[in-house]
Amino acid sequence: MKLKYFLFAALAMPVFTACEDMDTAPQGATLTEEKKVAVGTDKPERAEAGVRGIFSQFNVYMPNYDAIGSRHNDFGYSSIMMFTDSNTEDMVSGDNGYNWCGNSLTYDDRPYTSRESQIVWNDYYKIVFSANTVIGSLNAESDDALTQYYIGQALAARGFCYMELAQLYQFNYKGHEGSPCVPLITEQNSTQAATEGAPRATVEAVYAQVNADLTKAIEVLKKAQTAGQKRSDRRYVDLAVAYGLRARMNLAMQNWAAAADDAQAAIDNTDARPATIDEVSKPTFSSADEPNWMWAIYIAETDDVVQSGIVSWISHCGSFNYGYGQYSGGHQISKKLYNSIADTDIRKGWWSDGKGVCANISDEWNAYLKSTFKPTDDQKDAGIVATPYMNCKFAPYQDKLNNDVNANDIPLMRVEEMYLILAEAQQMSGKDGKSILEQFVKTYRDPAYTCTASDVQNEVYRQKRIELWGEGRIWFDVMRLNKGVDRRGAGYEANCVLNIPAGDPILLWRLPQTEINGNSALTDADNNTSTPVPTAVEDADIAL
Amino acid sequence: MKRLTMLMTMLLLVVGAAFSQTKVNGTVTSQEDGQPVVGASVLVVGTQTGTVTDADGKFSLTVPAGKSTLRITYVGMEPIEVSARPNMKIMLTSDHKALDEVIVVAYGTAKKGTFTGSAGTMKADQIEKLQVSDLTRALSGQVAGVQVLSSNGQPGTSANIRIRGVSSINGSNTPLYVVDGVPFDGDLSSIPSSDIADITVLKDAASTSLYGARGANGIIMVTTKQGKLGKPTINFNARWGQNSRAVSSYDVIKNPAQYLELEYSSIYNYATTNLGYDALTAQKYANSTIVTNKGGGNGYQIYTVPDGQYMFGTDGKLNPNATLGYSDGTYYFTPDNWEDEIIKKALRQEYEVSLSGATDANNYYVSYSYLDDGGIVSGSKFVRSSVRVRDEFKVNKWLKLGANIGLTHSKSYYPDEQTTTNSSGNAFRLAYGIAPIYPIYVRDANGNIMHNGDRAVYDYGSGEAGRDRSYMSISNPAGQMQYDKAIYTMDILNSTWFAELKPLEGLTLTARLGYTYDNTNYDVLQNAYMGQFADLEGGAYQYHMRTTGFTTQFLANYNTKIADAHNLDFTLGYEGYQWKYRRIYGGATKLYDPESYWLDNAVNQKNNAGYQLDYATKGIFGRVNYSYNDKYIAAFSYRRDASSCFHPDNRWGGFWSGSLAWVISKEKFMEGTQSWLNNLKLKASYGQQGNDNLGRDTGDGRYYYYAYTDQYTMTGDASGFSDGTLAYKGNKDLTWEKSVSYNIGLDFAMFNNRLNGSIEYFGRQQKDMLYFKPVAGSLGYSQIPMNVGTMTNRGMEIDLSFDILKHRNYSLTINGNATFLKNKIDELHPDLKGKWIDGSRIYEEGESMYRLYLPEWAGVDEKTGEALYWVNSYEMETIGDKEYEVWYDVNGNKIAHDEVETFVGEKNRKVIGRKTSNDYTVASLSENRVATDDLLPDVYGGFGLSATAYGFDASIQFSYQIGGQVLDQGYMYLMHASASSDAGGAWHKDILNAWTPTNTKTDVPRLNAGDRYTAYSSTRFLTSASYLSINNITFGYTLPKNLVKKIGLGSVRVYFSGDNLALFAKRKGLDPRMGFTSSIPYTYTQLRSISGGISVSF
Repeated sequence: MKLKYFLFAALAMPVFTACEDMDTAPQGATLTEEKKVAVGTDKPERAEAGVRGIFSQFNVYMPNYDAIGSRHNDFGYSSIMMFTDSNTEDMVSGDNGYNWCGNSLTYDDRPYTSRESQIVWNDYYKIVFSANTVIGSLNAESDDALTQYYIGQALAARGFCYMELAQLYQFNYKGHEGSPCVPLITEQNSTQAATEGAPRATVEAVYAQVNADLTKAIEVLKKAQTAGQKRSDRRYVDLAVAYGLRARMNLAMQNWAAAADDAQAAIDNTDARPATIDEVSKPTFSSADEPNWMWAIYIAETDDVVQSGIVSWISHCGSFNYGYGQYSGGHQISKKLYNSIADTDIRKGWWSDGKGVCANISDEWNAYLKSTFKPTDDQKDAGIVATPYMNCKFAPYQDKLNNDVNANDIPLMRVEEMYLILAEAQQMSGKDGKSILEQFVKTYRDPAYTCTASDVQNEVYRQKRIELWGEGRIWFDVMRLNKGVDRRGAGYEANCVLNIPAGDPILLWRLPQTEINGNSALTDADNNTSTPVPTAVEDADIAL
Repeated sequence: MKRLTMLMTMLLLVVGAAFSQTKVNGTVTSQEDGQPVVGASVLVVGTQTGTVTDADGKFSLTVPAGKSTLRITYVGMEPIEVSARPNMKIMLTSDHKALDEVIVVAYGTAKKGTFTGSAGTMKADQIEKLQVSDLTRALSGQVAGVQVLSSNGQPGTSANIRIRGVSSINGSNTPLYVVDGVPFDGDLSSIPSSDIADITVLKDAASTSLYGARGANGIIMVTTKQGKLGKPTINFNARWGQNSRAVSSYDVIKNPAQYLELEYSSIYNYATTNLGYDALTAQKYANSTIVTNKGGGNGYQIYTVPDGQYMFGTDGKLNPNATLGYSDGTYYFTPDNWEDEIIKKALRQEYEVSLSGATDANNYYVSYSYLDDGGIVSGSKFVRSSVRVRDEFKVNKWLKLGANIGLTHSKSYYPDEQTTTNSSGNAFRLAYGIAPIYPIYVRDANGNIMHNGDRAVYDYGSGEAGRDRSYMSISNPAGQMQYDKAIYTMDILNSTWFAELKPLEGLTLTARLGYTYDNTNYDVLQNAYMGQFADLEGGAYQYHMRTTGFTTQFLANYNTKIADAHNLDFTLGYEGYQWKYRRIYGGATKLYDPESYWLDNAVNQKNNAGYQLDYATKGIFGRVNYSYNDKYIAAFSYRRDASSCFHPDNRWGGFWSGSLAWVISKEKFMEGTQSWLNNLKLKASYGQQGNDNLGRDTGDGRYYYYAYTDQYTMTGDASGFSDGTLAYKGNKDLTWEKSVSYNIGLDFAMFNNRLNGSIEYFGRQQKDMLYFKPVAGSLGYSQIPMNVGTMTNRGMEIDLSFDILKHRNYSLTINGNATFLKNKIDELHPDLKGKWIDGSRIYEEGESMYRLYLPEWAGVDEKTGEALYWVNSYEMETIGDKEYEVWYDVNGNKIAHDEVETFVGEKNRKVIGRKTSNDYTVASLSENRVATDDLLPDVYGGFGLSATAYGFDASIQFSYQIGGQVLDQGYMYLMHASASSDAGGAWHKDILNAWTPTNTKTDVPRLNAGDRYTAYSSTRFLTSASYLSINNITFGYTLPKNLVKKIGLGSVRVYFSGDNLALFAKRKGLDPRMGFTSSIPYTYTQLRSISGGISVSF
């Protein structure tokens, strides 16, 4: 009877029966959209995770991996801070194989195929993407304080991004209102832009968006604050930070009086106060808990940028911690800018002097700087013991020398900047900004200070270059004030001694090629002028 | 043939009665030449009793009671069964192997003679000659249409296999591997080549579409060995040899004085040309700069010059009083040979023992093999122990059960970064790229290598001896790799189990389970003694990765013959596949024991991670084969497949194929040709295959398992979660990439089957390519996966084998294959407007995808010696005393000069021609670069020769490629001008022809330390990709059977074998086999293995 075969087969079947589950999902830190929704439903407090997601975009390990591969200068917004600082004439570093801001040092970041051009562009728009997602998911007219607070976060972050994009991709506001700036992507048009692309909006339109976002942010944050809704830490935006951002915007638009008002409102509303001379008489600027910080990138020890060991802002920009900065003297201040600092100014000790000795640190820490320095014979003869003009401003994490845990927080806004904005804006609107400046510097940095400069605005600029050195801010003043980049006499290596005149198209970034290719509303002709990378000029000792 | 069978039948009738315990004897001869057949095996059917024929072809044996049939077998001859009787005369006919050879196809086997598809096979005897740790490396030059590319020679790693070209721009191009009928995603190095009976490469749709889902890139079927009918045979094989480097380095300048003089001249020229110094100032400047790590100097002083004298004189030559070696009082500096210190020869040894045999009921194969494949840099080798048990048991007439289990334990010592070309941890970069002036060790003032305990102190070029190297500072892989560890420990189980039922005549039901289990530990130690991790007191990482693959297969096959002429064969099947990968990771720094990677040995920065990936497919399929008298053959198949990578709505795809074959030689009208034409077959096939693989095995591949959905990364810390980081933008509409292919071919056998071959014309069009469309970064993500575009590969393959001599005692066979392949992009995403420039690649409709987009080299400026490139020249206008480019709006209206900058909207310039420019940054702008020709070779393949004579055998196997170009990046790096980013890097001898005021007719630009772009990529470095390589040479001697028999053995062969023996390419050092578009030598080089061995069977 053949039946037995089939019986046998039938019995065997269950043994083999396959139940391939086709509905697979990643298990771990990767979440699908569905999973986010499911978890959000079960635990509503996870909604904050989306808002926090805006600010975690400031600190991401290799966010552009799929576009440019593994790069050690790709770690979120602080990459942009490092690039723009390296573009200036104030932050000197060696043009060697370990300098990951080397392309920005030489302006090789400017060709629109460069990796840096993608990092800068993508990082801003990733923050905008997260902000748009939050704004799109919340009711803008809600009276709920928490909702208003969340909306305020997203609007402020988006305003921040477009304000900076506007200054990197086009010259200053005044006189360029009609010039092409950057595509404006908001929660309103993001779906449309995905299929139809988005053209470059004019400078005017971008600033209008920034103004609208920041003004609305101030409004909702004020309401939230009144209702008792406070930020849990300084990674988030509070009312003062929103005012501070609008102060920056008004300064860039040369709305001097409005800038002064906003700076004053920021000072009045913030929980921060300027750091005292004593507080900055040693390496510092490493923790968001410092009294003068208004807004910060929070870095936790468990973050990927820290776990990577060396792929982080402080790895490149610190001198006292493990990382790239240990090599070749790290970053140094321009010699001519350093020489312009009065000896009575506590900030003269934020860098080592011409012989490589730093006044603000202990013998032990000076010995550490010496240990990584290999003088040439000429340097030995000149009595140079460590890298001259070397960065001693930023403390290692937890003030621990040679710390290999690179978990420093990174400042995004300090209250000192507000005083300097106030001084410039008051002066420019015809009031007495000079005494605000004098008062501030005298009280907090240099007791012997008097402002002798005839051009107060320029003196404020110099003070900012010193005060905010290495904090990724000063490039926006270079652009705003329509300055050039003159590196002669600053101590750069021969091939990095550039002299770029004001208004030179190389100062602008070009929209990356990937944007032109991918955005159907743009062609190559829409881009900023392509211009060769500048060539070095002969160095010369030029005083500031 | 017919007469012979008649004779046998008669004999059988005459002597049909069974003897009891009868002694029989006889002679075995070859029908072809009447010569005795030596070593033919004679077996009493149904027993273990057997013998082999002696030197005269004679045998005698005792037949047990109740048995009367003898089976006589000999390699290359038709087996024959005869009735036992005294004084037998047995003639063997040569088997028509070309026609009746069984080849492995999808879910079954087919006779080559009636196969309608396209396949190439490599047999055990060919595989065994090669000394490979991974089967992919055996395929080079062996099978038409197959290209083997490798840029990593680390023992135990796989090469990239491309069958009939590349099918996808972004998606995977890796073929599907099927081992003993079960798709295999495991580590190919876990299958020892000694266990492989054959490798069949299925190339066309007729052969592959039944694997629907994953067959688009071709299929490589691996069949492991089985027992042969007869008494148990034990084979033992041992070989010992040496691994060394297969590709020599470029012709670089090795003399330190000559190197330094060139470097000096580069700095000197910079001083005079760029800085405007006079000769004396420039001499002073160059002398002081060359010993620093700035301005083109190398950072070291290795010559001693008398006090007060310059190292380099006004003539640019090294001071004749200078002596090699320099002491600064504490340390002594003298160059070491980095290449010799880093790259060493290594031992290779391999042992295999197997037991196999078969009876009517049981077929078994048991093997053990051991391989120790040494790497040529410190800390690199591959050690593998492997056991395989295969048994198929026929329980009764209708039931067969079997299992095939391979268990492999291997350790791969696999130093990190050896293929990361720009990494300072890459030993090959240092070995090939460093100037011949740097010490590898730190020496004391007396010139003795310093030691820390018993460890030599290595010079990392970061001030160990007070000196900073300008080339790859903080790096010394030679020291690093001595103490660093990076070890994969793998336990891999590959198993299949099957049950086969034959309930009715012609009906076979098969259930098959395949289970692959790969348990890998990856332990990494970053040593605490020296290098980048010394400051952290060492670092340790430990990974545990567990991969499982589970296949279930149910097949029903029904075979029937109608009217004795119509053969019909139906197959129905189901196949499901489930794959899981989980990874647990921990890391820490600050080690107590500096040489232990255990996490418990570390105290700082402890961190951990863990995740799992899942993937599944399932499919149902059917196939009908029809043949009429083995003359007209047709086949049709269909498969419907689902993949978990796609959204449920777009998950299923259908794939079909149809094929026909006509055996012309069986036609009546061909009867006249039978004397010389043994077989002539025309075949054609057309069909579809699918691909669901966006590139899961590369880069950010973990997201591609869920390619259809947006994926976010959850981050955070104790203070909260963040889930807003978009890690991957998915696309719900994503579905199968389909390829439609056709194959038309002619198979033939001539001259008594001595000439065998095939010619095939094929085409494969890829549709709905899986492709990451680059999107505007302003959307917040940079790419989105899509099914876009069409691409075609078409070409021709020729495969020939000719037995020039064929005699019992000697033979000579020549074989060869050639593939002509063309690639064309038919259609890109509409947004790209027909052209996509992706970095240095350009993809353009109507053109090959293998084109680079490069600055165009225009030679050397005879006046200045600068490198020149072609750039666009635009229409200009003069305003005042300055010239400006003229811009137009879309309507062709001129835009006033002072409005160009602020103009909103599209604007254009008119290109009026090309002009030369000395500015590389201008030349490298997109608008100025040019697309290269198609870089693919015109033809590639392999050929070989094998010969035997009186026990000796010899063979040689070549592979080749003619035409095509590669960007010779290795050479490019060696032609720099000593600008600060390149200083201290080695120089090719061609640099001696650099432009000077007296040598102006040259294509090598001047040496000037300010010229950083001199050797950047451009069309200058395109080089012919033609090559010829000797892949293998084997010599062997098989001891005479009668001699061997006296010592109780079955056969003994001793041999010498060499792999990867030579490479002839356009330039010494260039290896065009590394990739289709560029070649860069700074990766783990290919290995040359030279071994001697012995194989014994009894």
